[in-house]
Amino acid sequence: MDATEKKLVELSISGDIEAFETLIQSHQKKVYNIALRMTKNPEDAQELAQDAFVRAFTSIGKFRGDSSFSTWLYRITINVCTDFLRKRNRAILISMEQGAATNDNEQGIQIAEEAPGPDEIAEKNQLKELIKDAMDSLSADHRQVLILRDILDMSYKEIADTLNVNEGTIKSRISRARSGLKKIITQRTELFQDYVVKFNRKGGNS
Amino acid sequence: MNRCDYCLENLSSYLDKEMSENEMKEIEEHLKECNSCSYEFDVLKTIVSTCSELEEELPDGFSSSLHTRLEKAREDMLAKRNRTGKVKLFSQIAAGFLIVITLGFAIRVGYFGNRFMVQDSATSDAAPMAGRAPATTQSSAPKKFGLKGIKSEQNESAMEGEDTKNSFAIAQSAEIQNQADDSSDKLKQKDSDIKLSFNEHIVKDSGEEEYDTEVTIVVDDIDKAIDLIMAIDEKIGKSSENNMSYNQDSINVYRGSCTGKNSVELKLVYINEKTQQSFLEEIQLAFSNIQVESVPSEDEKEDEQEYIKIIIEKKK
Repeated sequence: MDATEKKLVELSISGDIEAFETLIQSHQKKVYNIALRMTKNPEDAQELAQDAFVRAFTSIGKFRGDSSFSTWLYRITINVCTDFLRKRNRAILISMEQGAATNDNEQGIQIAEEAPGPDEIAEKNQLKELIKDAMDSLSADHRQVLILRDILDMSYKEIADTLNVNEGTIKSRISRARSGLKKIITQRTELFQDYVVKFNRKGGNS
Repeated sequence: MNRCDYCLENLSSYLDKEMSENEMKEIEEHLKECNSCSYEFDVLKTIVSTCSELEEELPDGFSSSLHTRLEKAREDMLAKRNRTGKVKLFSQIAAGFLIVITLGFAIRVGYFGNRFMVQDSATSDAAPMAGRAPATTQSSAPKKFGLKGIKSEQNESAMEGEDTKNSFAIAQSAEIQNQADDSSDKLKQKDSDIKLSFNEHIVKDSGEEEYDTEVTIVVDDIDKAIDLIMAIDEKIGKSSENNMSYNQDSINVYRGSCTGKNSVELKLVYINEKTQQSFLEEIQLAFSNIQVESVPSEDEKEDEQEYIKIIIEKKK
């Protein structure tokens, strides 16, 4: 933690909102994106990202500087989202049980067929949507590591620190998450194969 | 394991360059000569590079609405601080009031001075009051003055509830000191002095998260305590998988930095109040120095999830 950050943390502890806002300035977008990919919904994401910041603000006295501020902040964000999902999943579970009792399987079929028309969006965007969708159907654990690795571009070490899991576990979890993602995508569309060919012919980016 | 299996297994860390140079080289060589692995690598690259473009912009007005919420949070914190200050002052006044009453009563029955001589007549003198006053002192005095004496009577009076309400406990909390009963013989420490306090305030952790119950345990060996709690949680079952991830985090933090950490916080979630209750009962039998703060459930919904926070502190 550098001196400026340390100073800002101290000021935030004393209740200085402006200092706290400066401190989180560069993290806002990332925190929002963690919440967005975890919850799959912009409204919830905004709410939860702000919950995370408020929680960070009110408990910043407990931040000891053992890890970097961002690691601490992302950990809070993930905890906030996990809590939310746990509560929501329970609600969904109940409504599904009730649904099953009343009207057969109609709903499930409707959801499965709901996909954007191929002509509506440009190819790249369509691929993005495809991957977003696929990511949404991963388990929360797998989604977490992909968000931190591929969207936030964190190293394995940083991810391990954030999630309090050892690096070896992170390594295999990322690998399994990506395999899962690939499996879902290839199952959903044969078109994906064309994307791969096109993308890599253009030289891709790596 | 043949080379393709090895390659596919490590493709992900190869792409992230999270492996040694030697391993990198090995996979690079293999990719050059193996079409199917190299196709898999292309697939992976496509997915990962698309993922990296998924980052979205903040919604409009994010910062300004956050600012409003931060201001509100600060106000709440300040208000909370003031409130706790007032409650403390209030209970001090109440304690003072009690002393006056007790003193008055003592003087009335002639406790001071010629207590031996007056005893007989004093009993009849005090008779009209006797019904009310002792109940008051019994249930409140130990709390205010920290006496640990009158255990059985106090237990009774708190259980009845009536007397507790009549008492001057402004914070509306009744404390029970009781010797752990015989049933605790099967479990560990026998000298159990369990302190229970049912508090009608909502138990909140500095505005962070709401808990239905907060348990504080003071022990010599935090590690042992954690193991015991985990064992009880497992025994209660029904939720251990749920609780695993929460607790693993805290335990790792605690064990990861052995120096200077004198407490650890665990969080447990139970699917309903009944399960929570059986957990609390078990844990009260298992530990001697324990404090439980609980919110009686407001609504009658039985299937509400119950959140328990457990703070384990090292005995100083």
